[in-house]
Amino acid sequence: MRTVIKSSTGQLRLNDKSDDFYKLHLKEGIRPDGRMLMEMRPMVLNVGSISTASGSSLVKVGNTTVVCGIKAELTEPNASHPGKGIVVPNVELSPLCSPKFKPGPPCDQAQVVTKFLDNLIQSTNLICLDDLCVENDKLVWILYCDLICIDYDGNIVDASVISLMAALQNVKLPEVKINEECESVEVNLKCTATLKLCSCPVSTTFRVFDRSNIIADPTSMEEELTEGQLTIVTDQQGRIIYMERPGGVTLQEEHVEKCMKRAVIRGAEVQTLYMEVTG
Amino acid sequence: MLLSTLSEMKCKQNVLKSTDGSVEFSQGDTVVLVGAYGPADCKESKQDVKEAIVEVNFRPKIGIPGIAEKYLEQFVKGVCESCIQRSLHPRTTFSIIVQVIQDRGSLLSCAINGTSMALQDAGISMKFMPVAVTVALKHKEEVSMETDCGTEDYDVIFSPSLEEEEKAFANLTLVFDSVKSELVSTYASGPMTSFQYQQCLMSAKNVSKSIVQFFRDSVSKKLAADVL
Amino acid sequence: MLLNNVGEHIYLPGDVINSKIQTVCDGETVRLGPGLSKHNTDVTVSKAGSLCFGPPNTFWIDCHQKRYIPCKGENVIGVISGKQGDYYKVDIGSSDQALLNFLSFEGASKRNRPNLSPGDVVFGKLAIANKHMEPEMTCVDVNGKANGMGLVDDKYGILFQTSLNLARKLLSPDCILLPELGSRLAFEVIVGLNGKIALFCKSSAQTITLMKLINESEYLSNEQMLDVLKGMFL
Repeated sequence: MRTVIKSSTGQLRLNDKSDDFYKLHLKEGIRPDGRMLMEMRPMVLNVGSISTASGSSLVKVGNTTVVCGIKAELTEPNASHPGKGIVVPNVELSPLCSPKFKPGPPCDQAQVVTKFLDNLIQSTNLICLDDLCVENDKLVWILYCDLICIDYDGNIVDASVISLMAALQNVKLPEVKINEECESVEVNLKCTATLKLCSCPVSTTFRVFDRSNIIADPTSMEEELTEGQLTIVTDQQGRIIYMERPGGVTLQEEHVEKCMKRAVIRGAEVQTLYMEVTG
Repeated sequence: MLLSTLSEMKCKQNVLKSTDGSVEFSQGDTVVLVGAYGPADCKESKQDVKEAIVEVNFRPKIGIPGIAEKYLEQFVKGVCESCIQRSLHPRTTFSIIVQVIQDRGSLLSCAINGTSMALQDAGISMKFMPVAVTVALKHKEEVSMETDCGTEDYDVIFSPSLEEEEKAFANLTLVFDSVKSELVSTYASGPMTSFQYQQCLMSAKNVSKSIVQFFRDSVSKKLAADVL
Repeated sequence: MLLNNVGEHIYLPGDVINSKIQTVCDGETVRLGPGLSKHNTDVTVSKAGSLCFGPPNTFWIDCHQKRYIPCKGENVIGVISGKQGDYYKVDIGSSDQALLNFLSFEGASKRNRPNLSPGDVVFGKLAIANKHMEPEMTCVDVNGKANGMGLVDDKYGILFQTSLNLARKLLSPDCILLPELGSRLAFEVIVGLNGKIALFCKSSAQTITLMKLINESEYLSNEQMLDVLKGMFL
């Protein structure tokens, strides 16, 4: 178990929620918590902390804390894809992490982030699903990726992606054989292999304040003051593999370009963090 | 770089009697039915004293809405929130119901364009009309798959069909405002360089102007019958 | 009066119409009606439709709409939906129910309250209407007289909902439908600007026929209406 602390800036606590208060800060090019507009919050990443899970991670982005646990189980494959394993992400935003969320069925935001992760896994061929197949049409691995937000302070998307990726890199699958004579499944827990990941995405989220000020890695207060976020996911090569902005104030092209550049830099930073943690 | 043309759009307005505004919108073979209500009564617990809230209900062709629909919902909702003049009607709700009738690709842009027309049909005050374009980037068949960083080795397909979406290496949906053609909302998946994204943005922007013209024509067709 | 359609052009939300206004009345004070708003120095359109102009220097956008947005001074028809303190709650089709004070009736006093029950139809004028408050109705004019307003108590009629455009069109002095009908047939009609129309004829058959006729007249010109009327009354 290794822990890396990315950087540390003195965090200012904030009590005022008014627009004007925020605008005063932006005029000076600084945010109430002491960050520059495009500066990310310090990040803590910890992997393998849950011993009962096949893979796990804990991520803190500022105060936002997400725990991801991955449970691998053997199952019958989907009839439509007999040779492919299954990955099921699920994000939980419980009342524990913020009063915004009420107990009961998953709220809209939790469903949207879940679908976001699902889309990311599907559309970018994140995991080679063929590797998760034990025996064609008979037995495949299913990875239940449960992400639980413990403390919500904005930017759940970035924290979720980092935590999911770190946990996936941490997954160790035991060797499985099918004994053909007695048709039983033999699991060799001593011989484990890590999961092969085809790409390693990093997401970066921005918000636009007052049409012209772009801020990166918003806190929950900043999310309340602005409308619509821009999330850009990049891979190792600095390509854009996913991007979403569901609405909000209109963006000019140069803003989009600026965000893309920042996302690429941030992507490289987090890639090295992954490397340090997983070795 | 080859640019295809937009698939044919059709728009029937005021198709439902009891909604405030309704539109049957089709883009190629993809068809949605959108109903809009507003400004309408709002539950006290949901009210916002400063501005109206927007509720979007995305209904699939079969079955009950799942997280895939929730995901599309947030785009339609986000776009509506940015185009409706919500501060004119505080403590009220605008609710939009998008019913998918047939999905043959480019569903998101069809839903957003349909919503745009439905809001207009309901006579809701808006800052602009959102215009959505779906684009698929496809490798040219004769060119090898490895060189996807170049500028000229891929085709741009507007309003792709499901098959084209499947074959494409990247799919984008871009939503512009009808006035300044600035980006309102965007969805993109698939590996692409930022240069490719910017190029798509520019060509989609040009296409969006022809959609605005289509909106204009549809509105004038509707109003032609309406003159005293 | 409608000096209709300044040009044949259709405007969409977000369009800026400064130049159009300047060509019609340059340098004069201009009034902006529904569907138009001012942002900094620009006049922008917020609803899709055609631009209309009427004296004195008033511009507005004519658009098709079904949902009523309350506006002070407009005559509306509402249905009583309940009581709250000294007020009746009246459904006028807007987002909030309108309030109607017990004392806002001709001859009403603390002792002599009107006796209305849910479902009753009232015709009145909006005394208060703004976006932050519930609209308030009154059934008396400034002199305390009913002036045609109050409970609509005819038992043999029908109340139906049309688009706001149709209601405005019927009330417009340019529209010949109601006067022409009146010269051929005895009936009573109340048109609220909220798109609710109360119609009373001698027989139910006549009421239903007239309701259908009114609904269908939305997209008919004066000449077409005359044709229809001639066909009906021979």
